[in-house]
Amino acid sequence: MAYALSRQKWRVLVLEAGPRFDPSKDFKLHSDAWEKQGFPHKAGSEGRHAFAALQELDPELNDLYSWNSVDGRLNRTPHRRPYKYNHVLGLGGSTLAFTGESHRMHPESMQMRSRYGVAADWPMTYDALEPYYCEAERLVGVAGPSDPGARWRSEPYPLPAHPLGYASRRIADGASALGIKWGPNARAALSQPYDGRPHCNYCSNCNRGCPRTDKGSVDVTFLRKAEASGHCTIRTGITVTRIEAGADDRVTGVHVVNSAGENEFIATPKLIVSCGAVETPRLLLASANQHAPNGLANESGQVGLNFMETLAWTTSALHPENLGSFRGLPSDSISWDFNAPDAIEGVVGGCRFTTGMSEAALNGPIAYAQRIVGGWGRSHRVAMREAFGRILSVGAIGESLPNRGSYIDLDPSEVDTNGIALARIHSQLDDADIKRLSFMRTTARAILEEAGCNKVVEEYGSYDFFSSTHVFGTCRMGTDPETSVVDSFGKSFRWQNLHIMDASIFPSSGGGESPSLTIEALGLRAAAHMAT
Amino acid sequence: MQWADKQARDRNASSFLSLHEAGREAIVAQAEAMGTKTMPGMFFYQTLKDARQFYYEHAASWPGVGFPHAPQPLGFPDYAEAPD
Ligand SMILES: Cc1cc2nc3c(=O)[nH]c(=O)nc-3n(C[C@H](O)[C@H](O)[C@H](O)COP(=O)(O)OP(=O)(O)OC[C@H]3O[C@@H](n4cnc5c(N)ncnc54)[C@H](O)[C@@H]3O)c2cc1C
Ligand code: SF4
Repeated sequence: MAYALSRQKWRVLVLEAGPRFDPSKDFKLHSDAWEKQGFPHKAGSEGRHAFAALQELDPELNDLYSWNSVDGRLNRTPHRRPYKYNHVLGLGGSTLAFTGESHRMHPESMQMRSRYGVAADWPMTYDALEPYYCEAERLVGVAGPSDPGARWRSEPYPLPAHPLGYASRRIADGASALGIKWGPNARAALSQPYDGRPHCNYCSNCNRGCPRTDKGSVDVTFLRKAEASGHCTIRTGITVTRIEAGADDRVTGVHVVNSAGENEFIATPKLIVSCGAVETPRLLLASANQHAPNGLANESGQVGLNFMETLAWTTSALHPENLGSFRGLPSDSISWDFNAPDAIEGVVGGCRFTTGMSEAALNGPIAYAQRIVGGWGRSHRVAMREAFGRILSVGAIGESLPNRGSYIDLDPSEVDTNGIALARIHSQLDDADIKRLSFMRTTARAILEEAGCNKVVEEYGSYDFFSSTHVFGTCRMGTDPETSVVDSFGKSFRWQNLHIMDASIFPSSGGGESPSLTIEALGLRAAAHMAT
Repeated sequence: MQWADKQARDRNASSFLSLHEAGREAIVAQAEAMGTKTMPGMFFYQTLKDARQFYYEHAASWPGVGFPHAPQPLGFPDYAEAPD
């Protein structure tokens, strides 16, 4: 929105809690320590959140436990365990660490209530969003396939798809032996130089931050252009602690703590909240006042509810041939065959499958040694040599539907350094989630077997760990103020100058679609509406 | 280390470090077999984890496993071909 509004010559002030990253200096993929450090967080870029107790595990569902060849079962407790809500505080948000899959929603996934009786309908159709998808793809420089599949397109992707990697082609062969269609993924990674940025050189490490800037994170695309417009000012290290609202159904401004630790009040005629689906409801709930005793914009009681997480599964297996599988573009290929809401037999809500070596962080020697090969001494070194570059991983993400046990509230005891209650994540998997996970596991294993793999070496999934990169739903958009928080342009039904624009407004998650492109399209659409 | 030295003395050596490689490996294997609920076993598994990380975070170890270089600045432009 900062990009679209500043282009219309609106004066925009972006307040970002985290630091600014300099890709060429901060993303150290050229250093020996590249693997050890993971995403190279800087001071102030890691947020804190709390978890409510998670559900008991069913020993009958042994197949869905996470494990690896070295440590065996990874969660030995009788309960599902919180790993983390994986996100980044920084200019560009979580896209700094994202893989960069650039997906459009399946049109049917936007009508889950009217078609399938679950979640809520989106208050606009795919057709209404389509022009904004095109605009977002052009701004990011998405490289994608010519076949649109279930998502009609009014124009081709701005860049051609990346050729599949050598290792990914084995997975594609395995899938096609099962009759599963497998092809190039749409990627926010440049297949050719574009818009002043170089093309990808296939280093396989998008989740550790892209030092070349060819990955289309928000800092090097939308925000770069917003700043260049001369109408957008960006302040980093500024944490909004409270939104001030008056008696006339208008917000007046925000209380912040700046990087020097000082309190400031910043007045604004219009406020757009984009803190992500965990932090946005936290800020609204923490901004309760006499005019809004249950939290700001919470007239419907829906702020924080309908939390949807990343229902994920990855199976990794060894292939007899050295494939050099540590190379290439992460998640370069995908199958959408099971993505429609009715595509998995016996359960509502779909899923998608991708190549997953890099997202499983199985692309460096430390990971192989710690998780796959084990042992020590000479025999370890021989086994490492034999295994390295041979892992194939199939990752899957499935639909997450709202349920009563999944929501965000304010933690009653834990606060951050500014004294504001932490967001507390409640998460519950229901029977349908478990059926989807089982399907994802069985299919991932079958694909790897057909690909020629002879030994499964690791499996990791959402059954026994909460670990989310995609989160949604906690300030749902809709047409009815009784059941939703904002309208289709992200505007609060009551507060005339308060808008929300992030993944918290999604009424449903989709069958594993990655959300960033849809957030961007929604933002462009809302900004176009605001400007008129 | 006290435990390892004692095992070495039981083998008529003055200390763990004074043993030849096979002797040292036998004591390490003994610690491994004792499992994570014992002090020597716990020490073994923690040290092994640290050692693996320390060893493979140095570029000098990479040729031994077939990892050519850090991901950048070269990347892996040959990613669509069979590895060398
Ligand atoms: C490892 C990983 C891989 C991913 N892969 C993909 C992918 O391939 N494709 C895809 O589409 N998505 C992917 N995602 C998810 C994607 O990054 C997020 O869905 C998306 O960034 C969410 O956008 P958002 O605006 O809702 O929240 P965020 O990106 O989290 O942005 C919220 C911003 O608000 C700031 N903020 C929060 N609270 C405050 C406050 N109180 N005051 C001031 N600022 C505040 C934060 O610092 C942050 O910059 C991935 C995420 C991760 C972590
Ligand atoms: S694989 Fe490409 S997009 Fe990803 S970090 Fe490497 S160079 Fe950047």
